[in-house]
Order: sequence, then structure tokens, then C-alpha cells
Amino acid sequence: MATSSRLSTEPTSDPAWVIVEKGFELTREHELESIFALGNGYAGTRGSLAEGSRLSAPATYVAGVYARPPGATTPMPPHVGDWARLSADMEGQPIKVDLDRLLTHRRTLDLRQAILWREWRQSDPFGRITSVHGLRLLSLADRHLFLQSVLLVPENYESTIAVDVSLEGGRGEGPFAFAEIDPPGDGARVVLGAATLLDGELQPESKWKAELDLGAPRRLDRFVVVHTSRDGPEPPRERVKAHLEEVVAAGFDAAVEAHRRAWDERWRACDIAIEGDPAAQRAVRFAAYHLVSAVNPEDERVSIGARALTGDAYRGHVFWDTDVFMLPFFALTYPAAARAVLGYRRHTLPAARARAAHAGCRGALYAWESAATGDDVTPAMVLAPDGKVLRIRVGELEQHISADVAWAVWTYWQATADDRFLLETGAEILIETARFWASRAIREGDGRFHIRDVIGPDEYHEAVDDNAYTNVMAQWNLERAAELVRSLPGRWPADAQRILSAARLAPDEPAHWEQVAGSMHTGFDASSGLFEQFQGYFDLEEIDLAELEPRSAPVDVLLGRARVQGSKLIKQADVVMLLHLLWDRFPPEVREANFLYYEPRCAHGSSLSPAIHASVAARLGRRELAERYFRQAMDIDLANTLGNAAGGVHVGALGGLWQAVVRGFAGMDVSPTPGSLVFRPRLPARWSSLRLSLFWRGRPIEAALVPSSGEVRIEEVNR
Amino acid sequence: MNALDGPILVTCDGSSPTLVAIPVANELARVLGATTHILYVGEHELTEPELLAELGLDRDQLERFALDQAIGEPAQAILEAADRLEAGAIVMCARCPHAGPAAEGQELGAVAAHVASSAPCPIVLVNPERGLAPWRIEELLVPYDGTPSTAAALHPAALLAKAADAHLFVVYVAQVHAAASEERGAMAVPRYVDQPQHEWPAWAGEFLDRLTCLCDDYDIEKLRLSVARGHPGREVLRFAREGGIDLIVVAWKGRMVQDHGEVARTILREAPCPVLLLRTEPPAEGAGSCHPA
Repeated sequence: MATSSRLSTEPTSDPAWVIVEKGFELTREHELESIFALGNGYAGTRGSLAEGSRLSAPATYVAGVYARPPGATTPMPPHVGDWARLSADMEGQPIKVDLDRLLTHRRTLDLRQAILWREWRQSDPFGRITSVHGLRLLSLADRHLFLQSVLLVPENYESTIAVDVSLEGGRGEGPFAFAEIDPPGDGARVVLGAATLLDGELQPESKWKAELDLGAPRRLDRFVVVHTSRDGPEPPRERVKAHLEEVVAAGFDAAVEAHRRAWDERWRACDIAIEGDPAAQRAVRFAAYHLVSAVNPEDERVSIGARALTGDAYRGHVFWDTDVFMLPFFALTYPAAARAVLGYRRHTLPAARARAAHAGCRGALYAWESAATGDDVTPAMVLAPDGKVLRIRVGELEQHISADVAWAVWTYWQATADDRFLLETGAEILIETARFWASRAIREGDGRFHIRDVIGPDEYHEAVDDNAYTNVMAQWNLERAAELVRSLPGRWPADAQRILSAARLAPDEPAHWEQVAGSMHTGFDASSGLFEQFQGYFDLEEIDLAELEPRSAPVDVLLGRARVQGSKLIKQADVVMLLHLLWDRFPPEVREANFLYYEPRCAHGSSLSPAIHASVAARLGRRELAERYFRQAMDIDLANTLGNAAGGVHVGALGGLWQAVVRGFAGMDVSPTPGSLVFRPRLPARWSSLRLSLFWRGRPIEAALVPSSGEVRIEEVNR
Repeated sequence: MNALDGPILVTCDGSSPTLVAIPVANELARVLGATTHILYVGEHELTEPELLAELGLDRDQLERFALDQAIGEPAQAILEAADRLEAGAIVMCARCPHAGPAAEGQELGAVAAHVASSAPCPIVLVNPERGLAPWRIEELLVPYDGTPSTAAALHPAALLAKAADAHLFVVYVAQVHAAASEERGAMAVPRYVDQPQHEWPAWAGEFLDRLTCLCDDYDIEKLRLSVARGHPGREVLRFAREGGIDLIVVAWKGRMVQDHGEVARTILREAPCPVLLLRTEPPAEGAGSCHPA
């Protein structure tokens, strides 16, 4: 019998690469499960204890699979089984961390290797001390493969241990176990298969007993493979079986090594190294880790939900978070993933067209909140904790998302020069979203085009007219679509006719788009240099936010919705978001004036807001303010100041954090010289250097910024 | 000893205000399956019939009680009895009757204040205006600020609610000028509500999960969770009045001097029902009055 006294690999020792939790505190378990979640874009698993606890909420999700159980008003990702579940007991005494006497307990999210480690020693009522070392991962090299390994050492006793690694609802077939899940209302079938080795030997069953000799380690390795009927025509069970045979034959250590190499490659493409600020370093790597874990470059039918594959909150639904907050990270470090994410928007164009038609418009109106099909799945109401029923209007009125998707398309294309994508996917999206705005905006008596009755990013104010963000983004959308259409015949003659014909573009449409854009009411007042966030905003009540501090609740909870709606207090970056996305569109004095005006009135009731303020403040040279907002954004999940990290990590906020470093502190921008980047760093005082790994137009580059010497070095590297 | 696990010690000196504690103690004992110990503290020893007459009680009217008496300084006698009996709770009158709500700083009489600051067990304070009407535990209210300190009140409150088959209202009061707690495991109202249609159900679900974890078999359908805004003490009183609350359960650190225990003091001043104080920190050696010096 082969034995092993160690696991396949060791944890990363550099503290800049790990998130560590020592001890055990039951009430924090849900938030830790989110923070320690593992993912590879195809699936995600919460970092739950293998043996469970009174508060454990284990869940594994498969991207793109939604269920609609009877009575459910909106679809949600089903739990496809707690594949990492492992229960063990010694002579009837269960081994669980929330029982017995805990000697040491340490969980480590190894960001470098994307492995969740666990080290644990405890004593049972009879004084028997057991040490357990474990690792768990979702392979990035093979997205259908999950791995778990546990090394158990009976330090001061000999005994017999009973182990149960059976899959929920599973049945054994020889040395393999299979579980099949048919989520209600989805039509997809999910199949899991598992194989378990004890000291290198394949176990014939999922439950067995093993002898424990004094001080002798026993090692358990598990392979779990998952396939769904979405993946191809072959029945998923057959694929799982064949796949399981293949990975078992190749060996556990080889699978771990392949995963580590895949993550090495990812980190070479996207790492950010910050010297002088260990907390910021860990936070930025945490952000990149979860962003990479959320995305699947091989599937263009799925997007990324607001909590990715880390928790039940937000039911896996997709928002503008993906297009505006996460997409830039992928466009600049993982272009294939960005392309896949935008593929979701292409696949859901039919739903967007239907939604526009339903609204009496042309073109494409993307749903504010969507799932597999792109149909709107925004709940219509919610019971607020003050007992009142809150009507939810964002699904109906928050329409800027169509322009946000267009922005994401353009941003990807700018970053990658992927003309093929633009011609096969991007053009259609740009044209259809422009069409929507051209029909949504109405010319009124003043000769201007107005967009009335919307909700902008600031959701404290509903059903407003001429939200500056919506109107300017619509304007920009129309301009880009017109620009693209006009350039097609000259620049891409082979594709022009196909695209224009498929779109049934009328000859006068581009000119109409330009006319609408040129006459769009934006709310800009040249004398003050300010955008009025929406019509009538400047007449609202002034409330000094500073007088409410310190506070730990959103202002609409503290003051009531009606009061906030009647005030200038805003929920999140709105005009400031416009500055962030379309920086070069505004002269410096306009950027400064609007930031200075709106920043003190922003209550940051959304997790998406602080990072954007950090980015804009940094670009304006307001470093202390930028750093304050950056640290606020850093804490969103890691400090759990939200009270609700339990439901999943805030992936949009993590994308914003990354942008705050790259666009904000590093000051990365597209140079006037076509195809070039420029960096204007404004690093926090304690950062002695900043190194970024990026892709720009197909070339891997590294930027090194050293404030003390003023050095800004950008070079193309071999990867 | 676990909170509320042990005999219920009710104290009086025969004056009518102090008798208000007896129906409350009786109900508490009934629900918890405990014995009621009535401690009479007077100036000289009485025979049992004299004691019953002094208390205005008929032995046949009482269920599961024991009578005891002490002579001397009342607070000291009460604390010694509580210690000796390993009492699960002390029930007593909060103060002498006032016309209207008690003034600030006078929420507790001298004896109640001394007992509260040093009691080895929870203490139920009954306003003298309550009278002798029967009392039933059907609706409990627990103020909660998201910290593990106030969460310490949730478990015993849930156990009591379960024993009484009562509803449990948990009220979180969001307030300005209150920073987020630094305590690990604190669970305040979410600082960010990105999309309320998802955040509120998620937050409520998390809260219920934590409470369920603390109180394994409490019937979660009898739990109500509400968020209010404003002054915590005043909002709690509003809920108590509007909800017909029978008992307010307050976690406190044992001090009501100066800036400490402000919420507890506000509640005690005007509570329309008895208030159960659950101490989250042990009494200091030689702890004294909880009134301002």
C-alpha cells in the first residue's frame, strides 16, 4: 500500500499571496465561505467546511445553469451538490471543528495557486489528537475537474476511522459514484462523478473504514468531474465517466500541477505588484483572483452574475456590473475572457430587441437584470426590513445598460484591436443599441432630444428626466455606431455589405444617429461647467452628509426614502461615473468641477461607488481622497463591513478596485498616438513602486512605475 | 450558570410598589419550569402568616413558590440570596412610583440600581405603575445593534420565547453618528444596498441563519426582524407600545453612568412592560451604584 506523508504541493508562503483565517468563529462562517470560494468560470464552490457545521452553507454552482423551482418568481442557480463533503468519525465520535477541543485551526486562500488550504488539530473527549491538512481546488487547466486532498495523522492514538465521501443523491458504479441533478425549470441536466483514492489506491465505495496507526499519515485524494447537457450532444453521464477514467489514470499530482501552471500563466498576464502597502497588495490580488475565477473564456453563452459563483445572493443575475466594472480587467489582461463575456450580450440580443419593442422602441434594450436568456428577471417588489413593501422600478426604468454594453464592446475593441470580434459581434450590438437610443430620445419643442422617465446609476432618484449619465452615454453610443458604420466600407469592405444588410440599415440612419447625438440634451451648463444630474436636481434640498457621520447604514435607511429622494444626496457615482468612463470627452476643468460638486453629495449606498471615486480622485491628483476611497473599497469583502458578504463576494466592486489601481493610481490612458498607452502615475504616498501586467492590442506588456525616481517603464514581454 | 437557569428570585418589602414584581416572577417561573422564591426584606423577622399578610398573598393563590425573609440592607440581602440560591433571575420593582416617566438619572431606585450593578444573574425590572394585573409572555422584543454584545441577548431571549411559545421581535435601529462596530462577527444593517430587491432578503436570511444557529429549535416563524431609524431607545419604546410587547430583553454591559447604558436607561425610564437586563460582562469587584456620581 502506497502511503504519502505530504500533499501534492505546499501553500504559498509569501503573505502577499494569501488570505488567512485562524481559529473558528461560527457566526463568521458564511462570510468566510464567500471569501474562500473557488472557481474557474465553469463552476464555483463556496469555501465551506468539508465536515460542515451548524451554520455551513455549502454550494457549488455551474455557470449558465439556472433553476426555477415551483413558486420561484425569478430563476436562480441551483446547488449541484456538496462535492467536497467529507465526514469522518472515530468509534462513533464525529470529527468536526465545531465539536471537541480545537487546538489549532487555520484556513488559507492561496491566491497564487487558487487553492483553499486547511490545517487543523483537535482533541476529542478521550484526548486523541488528530491533525488534518487539506487542499481543495477547481482546476483552471480542466474546468470540469475538482480536486480535494486530505492528509490525516493520528498523533497519539491508534484507532479505526469511518469515512463517508458519498455524493449527495449519488450512487456507486464500481469505483466511481455518480449524481444527477435536473434543476426544475431549466432543462439542463448536471452530472457529477467522483473517484476516491486512499493512499493512492482507488476505493471501491464511497464509505469505508480505515485503520489509523500511531503517527502514520493517511492520505485521501478525490477527483470530482462535472458535465452538463449544455456542454454538448453526448449524454453528460457518458462524458463524466470517460473523463473520470482519464483523470484518475493521469494521476492526482499531475492534475494539481496542471492547475498550478494554468494559474501561473494567468498571474503572469494580470498580476499587480505593489511595494510598500501589504494590505493593498493582498486586496488587489484578491480582486484579480475572484475575477479570474468568475469567467470562462470558452463559453460565450454565459456572463458573470453580481456575486459570480460564490454565493446565492443576487441569484446569479447579470447587471451592468459585468460590462462596466469587470470587463476592463478582462479586456486588458484576459482578452479571450472579455470576448466570451461580450458573447453573452450577443446571444441575448433577441431578448433585448424584444424588450425594446415592448417599450415601443427600435433596436436593443438590454434587461437591467438578466439570467440565461437575457429576459428581464428583476423582481418587482421587495419587503423592506421596516415592514414596508418597496416597489422596484429599476427593471423598468434603468435603461443606461444598453449604452453600457456598447461601451464594453468599444472598450474591448480598443484594447485588443480584435477587428474580427467587432465585425462579427460588436457591430451588431453597437447598431442595435444606437437604434434604441435614436428611438428612445424624443425631440421636443426646444429642438433638443430628451430622454425622460429613467433611473440613472443613482437609484435614490427614480423616474427622472434627462439623467446626464444616461443621455451622454446614449449620445456617445450613437456617435460610435455612426462612426463605425461610416468606416465599414472603407476599412472593412469585405464585411461591410454583410453587416449593413443583416442590420437592414436604412441609408439615412447614421445621419439620424448623428443628429440625435448632436442635439441631445445633456444637462451641461457651460457657465458653471457642471452637468445637472437630472432635470430639477439643482433645486433639491441640500443635506450635509458630513453631519450624518459616523454612520454604518445607508442614508435612505437613516433618513427615509422620501427625504433622500427630495434631496441632492446620491446613491453612487453618476456624473462621476460618466467622468470615469469617458474621461477624454471632457476638458480638465469640467472633470474637476463635477467631481468637486458631486463627490461630497455621494452617500456610497452601493458597493460599486467607492472604487470609482478612488479612480477619478487619483486622476485629478487628489491622492489623499483617492486613497481614502481606495481603502473603503478594499474593505468591502475582506473586512465584511457590509454585513452581507455572506451572500457572495462583490465582484463588480473588485473590478472597480482593479480599475482604481490601473486607471486611477497608475493613470493609464490611451494616448493620442493611435494604438499607444500613456501612464500618468499618482501613487499613494506609501506605495514605493507599482508594476502592472497587461495585454494591449495583442501584446503582453509590463508597466513599472517608481515614484521616487519618476521612472515609468513600459515594455513588451515574452509570455 | 446559564442565564435564566435557576429559581426566580422576586424581592419586595411589603410596600405596594414592590409587589408588582410578583405576577411577573410567577409567570417567568411558570414558563421556565422554575421555582419562585419570594424574598421579603424588612426591619424585623415575621412569622409566615404575618409574612403572607404583609405581602397581601394567599398561599393557595401561588404556584411553586418558596418564602424567605431577610433583615438589613435590602440590596445586600438580595444579592446574597441570589448567590445562595444560584438564582436564574431576580425580579424586582425598578423604583418608587413617579408621576409620569422617571427623570433622567432616576430610572432605577437606589436598591434596584445597586442590585443591577452587582447581580450574578439577569434582572427583570418592573415599573411600579404596572400594578398587580396578571402577566403573560406572548411578545418579546430584543433591541439589536449588530454587535456580538447585543447578540448575546438573542439566545436567552429565543430560549425564553420558545419556552413561552411567544413571538420574538428583533429591532435593529439605524442611527446617525454611529460608526460600524469593529467587533468580529458583528452583523449590522448592510452598509451598502446595491440592489434592495436582493440585499434585503439576503440580509434577513443571514440574520435568521445566525439566530437559528444560536437557538437551535426556536420556531423561526415566530420571529420578526425589523429595521427602524432614529434614537434606539425611543424606537424600541415605540415598537413596544405599538406592538403590545410583554417583555423587552436588553443586553447591557452593567454600567449606566454618564454616557454608558444610554439605550437601557431610555428604555427603563418609559418602558410600558417589564425589562430583562442581560449582562454581557461580569460585574466588577465591589461594583457600586449605577447612578451618576
